[in-house]
Amino acid sequence: MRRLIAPLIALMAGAAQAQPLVTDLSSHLIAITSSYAGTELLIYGAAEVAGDVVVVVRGPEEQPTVWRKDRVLGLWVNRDARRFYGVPGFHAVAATRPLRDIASGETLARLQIGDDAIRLPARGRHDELTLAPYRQALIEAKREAGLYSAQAGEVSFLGPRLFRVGMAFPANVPIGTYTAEVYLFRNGTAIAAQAMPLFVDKIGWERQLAAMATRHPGWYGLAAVMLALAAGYLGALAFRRN
Amino acid sequence: MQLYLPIAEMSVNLFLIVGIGGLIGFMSGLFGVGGGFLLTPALIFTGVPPAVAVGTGANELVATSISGAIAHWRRGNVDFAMGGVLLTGGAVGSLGGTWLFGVLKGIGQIELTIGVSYVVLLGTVGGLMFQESARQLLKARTGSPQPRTKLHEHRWFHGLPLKLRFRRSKLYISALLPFGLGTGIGFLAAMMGVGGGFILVPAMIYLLGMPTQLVIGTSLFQVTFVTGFSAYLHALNNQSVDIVLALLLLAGGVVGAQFGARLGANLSGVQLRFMLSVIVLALAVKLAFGLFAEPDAPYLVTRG
Repeated sequence: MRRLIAPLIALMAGAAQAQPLVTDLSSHLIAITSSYAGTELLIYGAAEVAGDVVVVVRGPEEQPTVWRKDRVLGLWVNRDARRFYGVPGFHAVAATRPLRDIASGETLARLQIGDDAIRLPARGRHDELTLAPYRQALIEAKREAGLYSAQAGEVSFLGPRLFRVGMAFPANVPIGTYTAEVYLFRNGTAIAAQAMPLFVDKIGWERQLAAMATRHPGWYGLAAVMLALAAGYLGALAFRRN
Repeated sequence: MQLYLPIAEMSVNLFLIVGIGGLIGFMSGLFGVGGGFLLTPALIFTGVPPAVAVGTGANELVATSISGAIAHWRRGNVDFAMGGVLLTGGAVGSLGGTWLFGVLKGIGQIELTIGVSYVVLLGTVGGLMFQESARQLLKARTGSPQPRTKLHEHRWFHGLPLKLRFRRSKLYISALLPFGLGTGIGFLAAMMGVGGGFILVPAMIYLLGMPTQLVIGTSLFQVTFVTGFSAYLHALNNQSVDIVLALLLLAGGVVGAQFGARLGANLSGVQLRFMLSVIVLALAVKLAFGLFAEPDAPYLVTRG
């Protein structure tokens, strides 16, 4: 995350006097409650200079393992594994136009915009060539889960300066600290950028329960078993034949 | 209606989960098996992470099995002495099983191990039960006179040391046999996220020689404790028990178990064994197919 934010700060410092880009979120907290089944967050702002707006929302980092299945004695077995680190658990991009029309692949890769531009470093020494299919499988799994997405053409301008975009968050979003980044591109280069923090967290009794499960696992386990015993007993009582 | 599960970290359809719980509970009351061998795969199918499915499944089975056990106990169909010996072994076994679960998960072979174990166990148990019950059903249909048989076959392992009298079951056999059986079941139970009833029930009939009516109640009694113990261990070691998910499942399960027990009382032991063997065999075939068929995706992504 740090190596990502450094160039952003440089960009922002350079653009500070002119303030070519001002943005905000409709909320800095996505609250996971018992009725949570996905939500939409509004990201809006004003661009003082004409250009293309690209919005990137990045989720907390994970360390997934990708296994390759192989046939052994007719059975499909998990054979080789590659362990990745620093993999964003969520990555959503929205832009005014398709990304390849806005900037070169090189620029997008440097800023890690778009799920195929994310650097996915693996632990241990591996040939880049042999890593490629594991990376591809990881990205595809994330896309299938709706956690990596591209919404090209979703950022809309309201008049010459104001823009807005609704970013969708599915029901299975990982909990943690996110960043929402807004870039202003002109002639293939980012001339302004702004990053805003965003938190996805459980709220209310769900939070208490999850905290209890990790902090006092013994008591939690005991309570779970007692609850099940009581429910089963009550069920048997309720259906007692007279 | 959608509801968010705090430990599984996903949102599920309320009615789907209650419905799954009800179906499993019904089977539990009917056959005296916990139904874990159906519950764990069903939960994974709805998108619940496998570790949470195993831990929560065990927790839910506590409720359905005690509910069923009470229903059978009222009819006097629980052998507490036998159950006590079985569950002492079960506690030892589930400690070992939870440990091996963690090791296999670390080296990425837990799915394969579970799959192969399911196929081998379900195939063997289902096949044996099917053969025996089908033969008896056919015999009853053709109307040939049923020869008077002994209460049970006496084999060498019934005569091991530490002989105990199990009055209700009308047995006088070595306590090592049910203890060893309980240990094996407890081990598999913790490993596979099941109560072990589907192995225990036929083993009690064919190995121990217990009467079928007593087997179901006694198995439920034992399964209540084994699943309670493994649910606790999973919560303690893996934090993988979701109370909200368990409550939804058992809301359906408790009711289902009562209906199952009622229907079961109207069916004969042979009919019950035949029905269970068909379900068990069908699942074994389906799982075997999954092991040998080419997977949809050649890669698998796991957390951590």
